[in-house]
Amino acid sequence: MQERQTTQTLRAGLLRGFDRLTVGVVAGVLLLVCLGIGVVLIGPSRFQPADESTPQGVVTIYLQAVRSNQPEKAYNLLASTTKARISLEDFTQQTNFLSEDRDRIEIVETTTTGDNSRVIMRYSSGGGLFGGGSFNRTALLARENGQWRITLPTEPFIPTDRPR
Amino acid sequence: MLAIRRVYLYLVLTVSIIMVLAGAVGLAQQIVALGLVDISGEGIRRGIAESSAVALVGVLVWTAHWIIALRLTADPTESESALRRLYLAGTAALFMIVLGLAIANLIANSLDALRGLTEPVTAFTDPIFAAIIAAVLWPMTLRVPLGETTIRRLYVFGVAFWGLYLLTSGTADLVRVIWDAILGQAPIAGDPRTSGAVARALAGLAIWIVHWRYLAAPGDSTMKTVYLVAAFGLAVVVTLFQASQVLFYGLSRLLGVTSPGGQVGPVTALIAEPVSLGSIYAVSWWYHRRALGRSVGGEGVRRFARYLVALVALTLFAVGIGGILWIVGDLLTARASVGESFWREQMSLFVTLIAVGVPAWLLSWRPVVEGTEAASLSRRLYLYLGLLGGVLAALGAAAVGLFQLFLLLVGADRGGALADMVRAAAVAGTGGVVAAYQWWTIRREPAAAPRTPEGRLTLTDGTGRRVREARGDPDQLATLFDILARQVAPSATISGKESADG
Repeated sequence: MQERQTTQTLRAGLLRGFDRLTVGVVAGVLLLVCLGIGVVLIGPSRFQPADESTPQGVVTIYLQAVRSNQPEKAYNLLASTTKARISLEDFTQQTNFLSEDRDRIEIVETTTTGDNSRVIMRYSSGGGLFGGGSFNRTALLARENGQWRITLPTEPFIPTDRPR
Repeated sequence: MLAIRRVYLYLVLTVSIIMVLAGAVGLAQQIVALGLVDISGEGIRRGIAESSAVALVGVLVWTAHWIIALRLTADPTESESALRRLYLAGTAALFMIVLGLAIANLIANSLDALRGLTEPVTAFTDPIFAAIIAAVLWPMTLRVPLGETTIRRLYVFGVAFWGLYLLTSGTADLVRVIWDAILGQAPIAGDPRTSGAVARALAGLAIWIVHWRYLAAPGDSTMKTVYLVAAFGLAVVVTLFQASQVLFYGLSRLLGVTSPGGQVGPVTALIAEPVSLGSIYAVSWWYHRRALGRSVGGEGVRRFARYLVALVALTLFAVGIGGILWIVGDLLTARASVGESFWREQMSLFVTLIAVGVPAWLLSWRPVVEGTEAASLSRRLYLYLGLLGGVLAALGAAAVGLFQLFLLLVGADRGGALADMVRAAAVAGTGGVVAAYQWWTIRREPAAAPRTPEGRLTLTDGTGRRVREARGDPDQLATLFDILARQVAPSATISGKESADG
């Protein structure tokens, strides 16, 4: 038994003294690392480009613009009534810190009734394999001149009163 | 009842000795301030009155209770009580800590003064008086601990550990200052952290050397081993964690994450702290591994250290594997989502755990070993703890995954069930693989080597009645036999017997 185990032991390099199973485990782990890095680099490209003609598409484009520090693009997706409550300068200032945000956001439900729509999103924060938290937030949209525009974004906070 | 009385007595003694120390130091500081600094008026007088009251009450309460404690020590159970030993060792350690911190403050303030920073007179007089008072009280309490072996060991190795912590944290801060100076952020001499770092490193070095090298006695093997294993374990955990932090920041930036871990700035600045802490604790790892090798424990302790590293490393890279599986699964199942940074940052974290965990595991783990090694307690602990961890992780994650599946089936999902199910599946799968590997290793371990024949030594009195019997290693018993043969009374007889059955 002991002899059989010894003959199974590999004798070269860093892995000297290891059996085939252990070497296989290590090789598998290295492959998994390559796969993981590859998937994380090209994986998001599998997502269909957001369709601006749908409420969820508008919300996605809006959030991507906020996260990629393109406040003007995001601002243009707000409804006119919302724009009236916050200037582009204030909006830019408020989105500055959001562009560093590290949350994962997933659209989980879209409900459309006539010219109004409600998009529920799942926010998940980091914290590793065993930590992190998630919560739902809702964005409201309305159709303006045939296009969906956001009346109540999930971020940044927009005051309900008019600017002075 | 006796135990409650003992708790009360030593609790009051602890509180009152702290009052004595605080009052005496405060009083000395106020008197110095009165004489050297141009401060007059009610503030100083109130300070003197307050410190005097605290010190006086502390002295009276401590004296009264200490007299009671001394009377009670006529009872051997009282004098040998663990609480009394803990109090004595703790008091001596408290004075040493106050002394060490006062000396560190004095060095830091002196260095600041040399650098031209204005320091008030009290910046020197306060630590001087604290040091003097602690230095006067320390030998008084130390006298008792040094007389009693267990208390002395508790005190010596406890304070040595604290000194080591002070030394490593001070040195790590100094490396950080040098690192920042190299990056051109602040010159070493002008950096406000320099004085404190140098002072803590020097004070820590002095305390650690005095206690570890000079006060530790050759017979302190058990406590010394505990100390070494604790210092070694801490060094392993901190070094591996800091190394993973360095890799995490570097890889995150390579993958395009702008603020890994919420930190912003150049990557050289982000890794300053983990590099400084990790490099110092790596030295501590090397030193304590050598010290463990030289300690009385020998091969057994070395083996324990090796399997400890293997267990920490296995945990790290198992979490890394589970994390990568989770992120890959999440990316493949997520609906239109925002958060590339989230996935890239998490992937960086898990890849770094593997990058640190796998080499550490390969360096410390051997799947095929000889019989003696296979039968060792350390290896068995490693194998079964790994098996237990894997099984518990798989069971817990399977339950969570099933719960999420039920949520989906009954339509109670609020949006996160699929993502949580993917995460649970990744954890369950990894836990299962770890458990299977550990179990497979356990199953094919070579059978334990035949037990060494055990000797038996019997001591009988003149009538042939057996007085004591000892079992153990035949060689050691033979030595004991010789000693007893020379020392035992002529009326007693001793006989030795070796048996293979134990």
